[in-house]
Order: sequence, then C-alpha cells, then structure tokens
Amino acid sequence: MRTFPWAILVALAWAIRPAYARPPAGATPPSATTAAEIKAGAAPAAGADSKAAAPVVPAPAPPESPLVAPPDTDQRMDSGLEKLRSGDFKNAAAIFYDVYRKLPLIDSRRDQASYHLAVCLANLGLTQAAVEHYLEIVSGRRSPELMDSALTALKPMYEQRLVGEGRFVEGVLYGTQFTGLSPEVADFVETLQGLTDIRHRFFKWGRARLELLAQSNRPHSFSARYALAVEKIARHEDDAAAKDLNAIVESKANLPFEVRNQARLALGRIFYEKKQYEDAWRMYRSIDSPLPLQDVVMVERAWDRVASGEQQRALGLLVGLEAPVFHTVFAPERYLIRGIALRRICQYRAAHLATNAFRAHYRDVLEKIKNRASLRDDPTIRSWAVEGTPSLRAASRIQGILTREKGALDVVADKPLRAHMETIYTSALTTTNRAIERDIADAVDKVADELLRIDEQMSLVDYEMGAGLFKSGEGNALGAPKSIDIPQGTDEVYFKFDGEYWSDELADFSVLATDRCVR
Amino acid sequence: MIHRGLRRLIPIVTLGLMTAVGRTAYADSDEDADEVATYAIQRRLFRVGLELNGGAGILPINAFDKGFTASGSVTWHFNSVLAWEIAQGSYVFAQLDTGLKKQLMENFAVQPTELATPLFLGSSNLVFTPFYGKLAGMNRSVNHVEVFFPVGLAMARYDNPGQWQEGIDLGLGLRWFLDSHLSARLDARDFLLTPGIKEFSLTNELLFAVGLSVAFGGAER
Repeated sequence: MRTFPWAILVALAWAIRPAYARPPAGATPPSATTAAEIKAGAAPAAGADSKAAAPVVPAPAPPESPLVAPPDTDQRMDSGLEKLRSGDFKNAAAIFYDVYRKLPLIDSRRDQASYHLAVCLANLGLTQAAVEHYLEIVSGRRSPELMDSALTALKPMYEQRLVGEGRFVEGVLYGTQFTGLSPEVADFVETLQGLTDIRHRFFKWGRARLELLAQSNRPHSFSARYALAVEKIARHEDDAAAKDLNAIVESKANLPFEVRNQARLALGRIFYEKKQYEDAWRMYRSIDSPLPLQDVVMVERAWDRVASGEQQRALGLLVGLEAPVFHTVFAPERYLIRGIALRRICQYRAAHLATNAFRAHYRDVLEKIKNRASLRDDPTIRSWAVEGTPSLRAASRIQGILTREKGALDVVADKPLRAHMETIYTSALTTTNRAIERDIADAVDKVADELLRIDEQMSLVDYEMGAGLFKSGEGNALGAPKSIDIPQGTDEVYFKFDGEYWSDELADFSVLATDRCVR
Repeated sequence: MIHRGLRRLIPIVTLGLMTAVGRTAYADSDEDADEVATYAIQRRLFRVGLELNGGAGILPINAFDKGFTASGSVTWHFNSVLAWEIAQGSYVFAQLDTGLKKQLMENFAVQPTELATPLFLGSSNLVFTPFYGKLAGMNRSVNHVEVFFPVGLAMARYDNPGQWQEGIDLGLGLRWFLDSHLSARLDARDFLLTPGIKEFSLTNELLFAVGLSVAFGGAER
C-alpha cells in the first residue's frame, strides 16, 4: 500500500535543502538587503517574489553618508577592543557601532568595526543582528582579511539553524568565489556551493565539486558523500547509493552525527523499498537524532513493522507518536497505519474505530477542503503546513528567534545602536514573514492533498474490513481471545503504559492486541 | 530486642512480595485492540550474572553495643528475577559501647550477667527481584534501580559466651545501577537465630549495609 517516491524526494530535499520555493538562479532573494542597504533605505532587492503579500516596512531615513573618517577613529576602535576583551559587550557594541556609522563605506575599518560589533551582539544574545553584520562583511567583499573570520563565525550559527538558508546560501555564498579560507571553512563553503549547483540543476558542476570534496576524510567530506549518494538514489542507482551510505554509517571517523543519521535514514528507506524489513528496522533503530526530529522516523518505523508483520510493534510506535514532544507533528498517516495494522490482525472493529477517529479528528478540515474554503488563514492548517515543510519550518524558527530577540532589545542602552537594532529586526522580521507568506500557499495545498489521500485510503481500509467480515461470516472476532503472556525473568522488562511518557520508551511501545485471524 | 526489628521488617517484605505479584494482563474479548494493554518493552540496560559485593554495615539493634561490620557476598543470578546468594558474610570489626552498662551500674548498681555480642554473621539466600524501574533525577537523568528480597539460612558466631547460632534471615535490598558492571547496594537484613533446639531462645539481629557490587557475565549488551 505504501509507495516511496516521496521518501527519495524528502532525502534529496534534505541534501539540497531547502529546494522548494527558491527564487530562480541568479535572482537576489528578497532578504538579501544588507544592513547597509537598510540603513540607506534601499528598496527590497530585485527578484523579490511577486506573490509576496506582506508589506515592506519602509526603511528609516538614511543618515548622511560620511565622506571622511573622524580623526579619533583608531582611538575609538582601540577603546572598543579594550572593552570587548574585558567582556564589557554592551559598551563595546555602542563604541563599535559609533565607529561603524561614522566611517565611509570605502574605509576598511568600517568592516572591522562591523565584525567586532557582530561579536559583541552575538555575546549579548542578539544573534540575528550579529548574523546581519557578518553577512554584510561577507557580501560586501571589501575586506578579504575578514572573510574567513566572518564565515568562521557564521558556520556554527548556520549549523545551529540561526541563519536563514536563502539569505546566506543563495544570497551570499552561492554567487561568490572565496580565496584564502581556512580548510574547514573552505570545505563548508564548497559543500554548500556544490549542493546549490545541484539544486539549480547544474548537476555536472555540483557533482564535480562534491566528488572532489568527498575524496578527503574531513567532516564535510561526509556531507558531500551523503549528497552524492542521495543523488544516486534520485537516479535510481539504489545499490550504488546503498554502498556509499553504508560506508558513511559504518565509518569510524568523527563525522557530524546529523550526517550519519541522515545516511541511516536513507539506507533504511532503500532496505524498505527492497523489502528487507529487518535490515531497514535495524537502520531505523540506530538513528539517534534528538527526539523532536524523530517524527518521520517513527512513522517509517511503524510502516516497516506493518510490512514485516509485527503489527503490535507498529501499533506501539503509534502510541509513541502521541507523546507531547510530537504534538505539533502533522501525521494523519498514523491513523492509516493503525487501521491497516489492526485489520491485519483481524481486529476489525478496532480498525473501523481508527477510521472513525481519523474522520473525527480531521472532520472540520476535511469539510473545508471539500467545500473549497480558504485554508491559508486556518491556524491549525498553517501550523501543519509549516511543520511539514522544511523551508517553512526553518523560516518559522528564525521568525521566532527574531521576535524573541527583538523583545529583548532593552539590553541595548545606547540610543543610536538601539535604533539600528530596531531597524535590523523590523526589516528581518518583515522579510521572514514575507518568505513564509510566499511559500505557505503551496505548503497548505500539500497538507490538503495529504489529508485527502489519507481519507481515501481510510475508506479503502474500511471497505477491506467489510470484505473481511463478510468472508468470515460473522461480525465478531474470529480467533478466541487469549491471555497475554508476559514473560518473567527475561532480559526484557515490561513497563505497563499508564499515560505517562518517558522519552526513552517512545520507540519501544507494543500494543498487546490479540491476533484474531485464523491462520 | 528480639522481636522489634522483625516486626518492622516482615510487613515490609510481605507487602513488597504481595505487590509484586500483580495480575496477568488479559485481552478481554469485548475490548477493542486500541484499548488493550500497552507496554513499553525494553531490553534491560543492566544484567547481572555473577555478582561480587563488598561493603560496610552496622548492627544497630543491640542496646549495649553497636557493631560495625565489613560485609561481602557472592551471588549468582539465574535470571533477572531469581538469584542465589551463595554466601554472604559480615565480620564485626568494631563494637561501639553505648554506655548503657555504665548507666545501669551507676544508676541502679546492676550489670548484665551475660552480654552476647555477634562476631560474625553469615547466610546463604535465594534472592527474589520483582521490582525493576527507572527514576528521573531532577528531570535531568534516568537512574535504574531494583528492589530485591533475600530469604535463606543463616548462622552467626557470638562472643560471651562464645557459640554458634543458626537460623534464617530475610531482608530487603535496593540496588542502584551505576553502569553495566557496577552498582551500589543498600541492604537491610534480619537474622533470626537460635543456639539450638534444646536450649531454644531466639536472637534477632538487624543488619544495615551499604556496598558496591561488581557484576560479571550476564547477557552482556
């Protein structure tokens, strides 16, 4: 019943994330407005999506562009550095901003002040303002000596998802050649550029870059190997991809755990498609991502158990998916899995109840969809759409950070710096909101399509149950209910579930439903 | 002296054993599958085969002397529920005079004629471990513990008068798993001893001990 073309797409989407709803190649994303441009009241960059609905907040009146550097610039800079070194980030930030705004654009010390200001802001918890200043240095390309430092600072922030993908990769990194970078930063940039090449369908270029990178044994080499393996899956070269993925999974090198887990997931999917359910299960089980990121894995594990015939484990995994940590997850598939699993152990009434539960849970939304009502403004559907779309989830996360940090601007006492921060955050929030609004319609449509698909499948499950009951000739269960034998003294310990979720148990549930089928 | 400790310990042990023997789960014919019992089934993180335990204890029940012991045991775990504590011994290496003898002498001019004090306690037990669970430590860690009940035959060597006494012992223990080979144990044992049928009298000794256990074998992960 289950097909997996989407699985390959999801894997590819991660590798070349976020592939959806990007502006066309060469176009400058709307968020590419630099802080300097904001200051100068620049209009949004060309290439902004015409579908953008949110109004652009007008930038404040541009300050008079200084033509000459103030004579005390060096002393002010030294004073700022002194405060920075002593950990007085608030005053250091005020000084660096003062230096920064009073220097002409062509003065190299302006970028230095911008860099030190970013360091102070990051230490004050204003990560998004810091990101803007780092990005300004990288995109400005006026200070080659600061390029490596700025990218070094941006790298962990990007890995912690504090930097918008489009803003950073598409807007700044992709169209730029960098030299003189430290090896790790160079690998990082090369990986992202290679992936973006592939995303823009420049397969030959992207593949060549990644293959070169994959030859070494550095952390980003594994990202490159993974991306190449996913690309092989997209080309239907599953065996070759499985070999590459297995090499990543088995590697003893200190590679990023996220890459190893993505490789496990992709390998699990290949095994599943090849009907090697136990191998797939072994691979899924070895994934050790943080729990909130395991929702998809849980669903796939449940499918795997259904396919392998372990319906009780499949039902248990669905119990795990009800845990509070997954409360925002949009996974209507869980009802379908439950229905199928129960039907396969001839628990027809319970399977029918799963269908009813699905319809009860999604009744309002299904009615809206069938009545062709607008879904974009429905907060529940919006939240599902955001959660289910990686690019939107990332944008939503950035939006949350921006809102939180904007609310914490009281930490900045210096008035000019405070005004500068307000401008950055207002503009960044507007840009982020606009990006979300631009992509939300497609995401909402996907949610609606998914619900309709599951609804149809549930009807099919109901029909098959009716057929099963008809064949059995009776409305009740076929097999006699048996006592459930819980072994004692074995290496397995049975914790009876009483509604309290323990995070280490979520993937270990089993629903001890009796198999009532006559075999 | 004889019965006080016993009165406390027996109800605890009995209650524990009764609670442990829960009902078997049954799938009711009328129940729907989604209402059938759900279990989190996990492989035990900590499994023990041969266990060596060493620690220190106190014999608090004697009103005249409190004994301090060096204790140790060797246990073979048949499975996660049942084990045989092949040998358990506690050697009293120090006695703390409570001052009662002096008080009796000074206040009432009397002194006990015979004050038997234990020198050594030993036993061999069956150990029943019905409880195994997890504790959330300040919402930051998960700690694995088990509660066990040893029951078996015991013997003790006494001084003043020097004699051996035999009997039974039963107890309650808590094991705190530190890692797959190491665990901390807290034991409470009650020894019911008699010098013999002919000169029957019952002596009760309560032993509290803390120790560290090293586990070998078992089904290693």
